[in-house]
Amino acid sequence: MEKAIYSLAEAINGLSSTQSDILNYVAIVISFIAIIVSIYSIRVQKNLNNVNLQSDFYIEIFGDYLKNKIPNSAKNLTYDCNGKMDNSYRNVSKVMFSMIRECGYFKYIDNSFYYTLREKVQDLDEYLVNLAGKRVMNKEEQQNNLISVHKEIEKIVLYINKKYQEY
Amino acid sequence: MNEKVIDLKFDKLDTNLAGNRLGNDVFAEQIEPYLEYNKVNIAVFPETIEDIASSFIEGMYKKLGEKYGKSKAIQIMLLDAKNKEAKEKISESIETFGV
Repeated sequence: MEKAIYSLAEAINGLSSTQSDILNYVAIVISFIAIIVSIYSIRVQKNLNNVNLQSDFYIEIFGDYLKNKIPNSAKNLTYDCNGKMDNSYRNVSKVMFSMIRECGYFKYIDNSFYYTLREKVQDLDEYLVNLAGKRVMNKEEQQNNLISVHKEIEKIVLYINKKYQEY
Repeated sequence: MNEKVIDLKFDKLDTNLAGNRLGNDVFAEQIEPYLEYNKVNIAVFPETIEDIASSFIEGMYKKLGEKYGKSKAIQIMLLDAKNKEAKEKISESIETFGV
């Protein structure tokens, strides 16, 4: 950018001595364009740096939850022989709560994302607690309940994933 | 500071509690009339209650939080449970979502 400004200064100097010098006019225009492009490039680079930083934080915070912790917590969901959900259902809420505690960074960077995610996790917890409190002896109903829990978990995972795609 | 214990009562068939509104109702019916503001009031869930949703806990603190602020609300009322897992859940919920 310094070079562009220097060229512009030289061209303006030249302009004052020979007013009909077309080349100096062209040099002025080109120098202005070079300055504008430089300013724009700096802004684009700054934005890119910010996006990269947020993307890094995103992977650091959510990476292990999406790859391991959430799938592992959900894989043992089942009903026992008394028609009640096996106690392992609690791990799903435990993992989700832990994730919310760890993603506090987003409360300040992307408030809307953080609070929507928080709400989704609370809704899932409420859904699980309600389901787990009921005795269900019908196998088909048990299966449908388990599928519905997995679908609720999927919604949360997709929501987080969608956010990453914005980066 | 002195403590006041308030034992909560629920239907024997209820093992799990969920819902902001239900939490609010339980507070209004079983706790609010018996609160002593110069003491630490401890509301205790019976052994039969096995799990408590975070939404229910939020509902229990809603009125107190709106009237006195969230920090003061926790000073006025603490939640405890005789069931170990329910007790853990209370602690995790408050740590994660506040009141």
